[in-house]
Amino acid sequence: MDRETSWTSLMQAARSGDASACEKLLGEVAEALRPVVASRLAHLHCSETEAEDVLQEILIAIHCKGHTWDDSRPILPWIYAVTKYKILDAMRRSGRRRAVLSDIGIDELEDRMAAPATETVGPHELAQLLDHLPERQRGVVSALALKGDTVANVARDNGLREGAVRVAFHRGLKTLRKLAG
Amino acid sequence: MRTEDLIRQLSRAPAPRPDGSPTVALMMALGLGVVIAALSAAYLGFRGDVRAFAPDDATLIKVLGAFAVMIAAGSAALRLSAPGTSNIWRVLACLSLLGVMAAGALQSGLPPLSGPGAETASRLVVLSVPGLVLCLVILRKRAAVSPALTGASAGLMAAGSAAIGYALHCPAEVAGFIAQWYGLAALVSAALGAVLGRHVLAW
Repeated sequence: MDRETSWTSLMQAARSGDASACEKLLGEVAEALRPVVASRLAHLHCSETEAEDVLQEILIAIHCKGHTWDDSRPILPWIYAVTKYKILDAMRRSGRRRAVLSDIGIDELEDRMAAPATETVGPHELAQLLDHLPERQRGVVSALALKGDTVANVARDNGLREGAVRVAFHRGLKTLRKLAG
Repeated sequence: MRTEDLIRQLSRAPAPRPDGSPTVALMMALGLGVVIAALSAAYLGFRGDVRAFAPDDATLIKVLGAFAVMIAAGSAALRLSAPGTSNIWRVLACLSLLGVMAAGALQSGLPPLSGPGAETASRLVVLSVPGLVLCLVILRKRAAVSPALTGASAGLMAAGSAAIGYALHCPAEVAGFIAQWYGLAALVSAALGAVLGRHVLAW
């Protein structure tokens, strides 16, 4: 079955409330669009994370604006148009961000260039740094920042209140920043 | 958040589903725009021919012209409010804007800021505002990929609906006067729609 036919039937099933069809559709769309989004944003020096954020925005739009797809028409042009709109939107935003950067005066720019580049910390060094943290902070930081878990989940798993999780997270990050120099 | 988690959460939450068709909603909004303008025409006093239930050519031209603009701009706005529709609608929206621009520019030179023409135009602009706001509220639930152009079309169709009602009062008889001042009013309303649309219709 080609993409057009299979996505059309998945979207129709999702419209009638089939959660697994919706999950399958969004999963396949994410898979198909990830390289497209990444290549479009690559020359704007967007990181992989930023490209993934844009991809997520596209998925949310496909879910929330799905009702604007007319099911008597092909679905691929609709998905492409949503994708294009969201990519252009992201480009405009990053264009603005760079415009802000280009407002910096030439002297200031020279200062910045002269300053030593801050070293980025790789995943291996990060794991070593994490060992220096107290146990609670280590657990919270690795769950939230590395595994991408939610605050609510972490709080439940560790028997903490959400406020306590946030405090531990921020303290952990502060210590890490100090450790990483 | 990881993309897989997002997908799982999205599929568990039901997608928003505005009830009723947008076409019907837009037609009701435009109908309301006509009624508001017609009420104000009643307040200002109907034209003699309208009072006699025998509309003459000037009235017919105004009503039919405004109706045509409303339908053309309305169809364009509706099509433009969904992603992936054919570019023909974009072209139609631009053409109708150009047409109105041409009508507004019929008489060269800067239009005088007072006099019957300016009064007609400013009344038309004010009367098109409620319809424009309603249309934008309806279109907001959709997904316009060119928010400014969609908003401009919404402004144009709202101006059309206002002109249909206002034509029942408007005493103007000269075609050039009608084209210029109705055109100018429609243009202002379209510009208003474009500016509002850029912000309100972005998603």
